[in-house]
Amino acid sequence: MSRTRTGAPPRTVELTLNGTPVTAREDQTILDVARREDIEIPTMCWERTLTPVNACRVCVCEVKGARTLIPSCARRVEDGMEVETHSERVNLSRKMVLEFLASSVDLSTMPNAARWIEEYGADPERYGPPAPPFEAGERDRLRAGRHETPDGQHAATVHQPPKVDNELYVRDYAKCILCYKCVEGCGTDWQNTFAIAVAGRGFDARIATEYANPLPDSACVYCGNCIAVCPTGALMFKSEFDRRAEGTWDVERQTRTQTICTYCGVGCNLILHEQDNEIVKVTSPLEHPVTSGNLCIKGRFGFQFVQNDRSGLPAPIEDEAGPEVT
Amino acid sequence: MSFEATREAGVSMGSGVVMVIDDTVDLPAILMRLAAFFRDESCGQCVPCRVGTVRQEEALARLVNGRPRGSVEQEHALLGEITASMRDASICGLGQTAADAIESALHKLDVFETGRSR
Repeated sequence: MSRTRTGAPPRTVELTLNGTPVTAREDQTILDVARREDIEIPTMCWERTLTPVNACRVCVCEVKGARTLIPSCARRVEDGMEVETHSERVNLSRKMVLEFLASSVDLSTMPNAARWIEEYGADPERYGPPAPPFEAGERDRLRAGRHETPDGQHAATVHQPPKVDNELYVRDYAKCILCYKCVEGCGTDWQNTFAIAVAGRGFDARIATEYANPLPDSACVYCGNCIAVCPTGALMFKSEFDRRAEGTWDVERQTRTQTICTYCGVGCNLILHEQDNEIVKVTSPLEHPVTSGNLCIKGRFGFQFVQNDRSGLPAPIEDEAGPEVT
Repeated sequence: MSFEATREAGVSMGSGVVMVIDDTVDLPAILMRLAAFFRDESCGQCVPCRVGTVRQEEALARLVNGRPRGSVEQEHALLGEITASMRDASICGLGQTAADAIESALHKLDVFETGRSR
């Protein structure tokens, strides 16, 4: 989040990154500095517009003197720090995080996932064939602290049918890696609606509305700011979800038009994603100073009026055909 | 006996409780109970612990049931990598130590008999 800085300007610190001395501002994270130096550290739960929760652990780095690995997304640089971003220890933990997720979650619509899995030599298959998926709603009823003893011949997963309970967006929690981004966007980082939170514990933990109510019965205001930050496609516009199901979703054929929302005077920038002359999705640039990627229901979903098909409506009543007034 | 000394010796003292178990006890069953405990108590916030404790219990179940994927050595190697990532990359002490007892039983007591205890 962008905040106005007050007080003394940040000091400059000197640290070593993969053996090379670098300087950085003391308010920068290890990840910030690594990116500046063109070192790729994978991230899943980090987003520039959200407070780091360092939950996915894929960005961990080795810091000399630390007992455990350090999440580079959250740890600020310090004077004299010696950081390794790709040591053997780091690469093993990254490989395991990728394996753990890929063997339990559907990462098919997560950008970069397949590339990272290959780069880090992750082998999700080695945990065995996936266990049968959960039935709809089954995971919402799980009780914390109890589970059936596995025989280990199948790998437990979070696979389950998608939740389609409204016309605007779909929650496909078989694709959820529990990065907390939607919870943060819905809560204190942006929207302050608090329609969703993490329910349950351990492997049974899941994102849920209150009492796992369907979205129309929840506190959701359909701003779609959760969709904007979801890294895996677990949260998806219904227009995209339906086209993907039909096999007609084609990013290559889509155009993006940047415009300004006309509903009020705030000046939110919209990016209209169009395919086959239809708006299929609306986003806002994360780096935009007005929105930081956030919109309200009108900007996010109020595009339908642009493309209403009037051919099925009755023809307008013509003056001549009107009843005679006496 | 201190935390530092036990760490030095490559053993874990957990919360400081010492439980004496003789050789009549079914050690694999105790390991399964430990694995189930850590799976149940994981809060689920970070990936290494949330999924690692599940994969650890599954691998242990295969060893206990005598149905390893590949060889017993392969399962040991898999558990070794699960242990390392949980210890190094979990947020808190629960995930960081969730594999300690199981690891030492596997390697120091050679519970599943690879003939390579150390």
